[in-house]
Amino acid sequence: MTASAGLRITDLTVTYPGPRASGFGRRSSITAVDSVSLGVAPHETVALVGESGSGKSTIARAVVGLVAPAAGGIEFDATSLTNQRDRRARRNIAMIFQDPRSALNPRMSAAASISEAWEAHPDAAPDGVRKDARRRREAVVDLLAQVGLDPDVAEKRPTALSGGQCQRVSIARALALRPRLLICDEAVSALDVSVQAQVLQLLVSVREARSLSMLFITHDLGVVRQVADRVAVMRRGELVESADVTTLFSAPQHDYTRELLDAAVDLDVSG
Amino acid sequence: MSDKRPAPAGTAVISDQAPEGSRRASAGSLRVRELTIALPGPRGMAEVVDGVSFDMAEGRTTGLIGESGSGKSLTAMALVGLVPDTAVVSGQVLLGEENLLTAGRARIRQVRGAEISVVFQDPSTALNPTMTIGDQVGEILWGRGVSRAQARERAVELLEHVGIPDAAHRVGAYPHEFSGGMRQRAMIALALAGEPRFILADEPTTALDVTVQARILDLLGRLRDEDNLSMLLVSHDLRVMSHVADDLVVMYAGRVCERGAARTVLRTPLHPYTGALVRSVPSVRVGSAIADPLPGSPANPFDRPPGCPFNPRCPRAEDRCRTEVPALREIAPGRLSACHFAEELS
Repeated sequence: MTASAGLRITDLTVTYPGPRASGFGRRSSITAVDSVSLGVAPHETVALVGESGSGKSTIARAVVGLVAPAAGGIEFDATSLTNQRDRRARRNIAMIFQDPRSALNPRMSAAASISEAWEAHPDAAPDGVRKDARRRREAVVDLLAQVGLDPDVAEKRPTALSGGQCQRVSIARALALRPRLLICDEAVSALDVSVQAQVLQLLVSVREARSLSMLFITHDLGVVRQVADRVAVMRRGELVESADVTTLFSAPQHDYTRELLDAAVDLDVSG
Repeated sequence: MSDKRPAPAGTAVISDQAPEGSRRASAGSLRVRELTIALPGPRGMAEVVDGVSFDMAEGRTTGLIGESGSGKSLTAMALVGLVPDTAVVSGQVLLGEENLLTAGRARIRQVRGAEISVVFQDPSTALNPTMTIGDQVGEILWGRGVSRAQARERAVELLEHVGIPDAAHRVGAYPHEFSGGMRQRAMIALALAGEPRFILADEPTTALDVTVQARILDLLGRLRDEDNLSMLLVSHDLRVMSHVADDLVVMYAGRVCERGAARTVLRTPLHPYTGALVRSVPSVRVGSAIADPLPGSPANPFDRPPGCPFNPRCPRAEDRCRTEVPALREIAPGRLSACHFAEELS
């Protein structure tokens, strides 16, 4: 394993167009991510925390190619991901979104949503699934089983599934191309409290079984403590602090990290 | 601080509000009795809220907690008549001796804002984007015979009261010029404009960042104490509840499964569902393993399992739980549970 294995983000800057200064003026630009460098080593889980608008989701979107960086580099295993034309390297990375219902096509069955990935990346598809309907069905059922869903879910559309089941289908789809890095953007925040633990446990067991790296975006510091090895704190587009999870919680260095930790309330059953 | 309090109703010229002062003084509880709400579902009418009873006690915060499909928001909105047109509502919502469920639309409109106000989850959609904050607060007062100038003055007072800095200047701003937290403060100022005694807050901090969330919760607590308000806080967030609620009502699949003082409910749950919720909250202060999750998903209120609605997910479920609906009964003084085995849980 070389030093450059895993995900490496170097001096990443992402800007969005802002309002025009006047009717005919140039658009100003808003810097959503400002020279952020961040790495996720193989088998490592890095949590990205910060308030809304801090740029954490923008980093995730840049990594999977949903927004183009204004400057800086993104590499996975020393292969650049910033080349928009080469999609092969990106196959190693899959993303799970916050709202599982809107992340799935409402007109497609779970099986169709999962196997769609194999059409987009034929060379990463398991043998035979693109030509042989029975092989495809087997592969889908196998993926569903890995995320704890029964085979009969394959034919169902998102509207016939609960929020937790939809998120499991999203995870199955993310796993279809055998990624090595999983990006979870608030993947459990929209779920019911009693379902969150199920999906968290599933994500952690999938991570162990497949030796995945994870970039875990969340606002829930309790969840961070449960899943992360390292934590990166974002504020207004900048990375203000990064430390291993125990250090960050016990000895935060930056004022903003302390503010976040102070504001996070725990279940209080005293008094 | 007293100069920041809004002036009592008597000092403003509110012609049709003569009883306002006396009403405030004689507060009392809002009592919900056997509230049942049926909605048309795939298989005919379904009672998605089923026999819910609780009190919103004077000067206290009552937490209504539940997951999707628990009926918590529907229950809260029914208190002010905000239910879908297709809903069939029965039971009683008692304001004094008056049952608001049979009071008629005109009376409910009068009650809304003046007696019971609502703070919605997302202030960016609940506020009118085309009106200044001041006009939106003022709009509530104009209808009561308050002059525009007085309404403006009162709006500034209210914005100050909810902690908006530079209120005299910000009163002319539009919602988009406010941050999310300031917008929620403005929403709360709107809710207070009619000087209600009861506030229904439906997930008031869910859309906000944690650092802002803490401040809004502090504000709601302060207002409750200063104005002697009774608050109903609807939330799925147990951490928030544990900090602000005095009493808790835990709902599952349209029914109350547990009720009591918040601290004791959270410390010694008398229903397996409450227990599972408490264990599922990850701690920030100390590291914890991911909780043993409950299997399955929250019950669908349109397709409630027979017996105890929680039985398919309950680790303690026995045959009796699959056939016999457990009644909500008093296990200890002030502690109610709808579990057949509540005594064994304490």
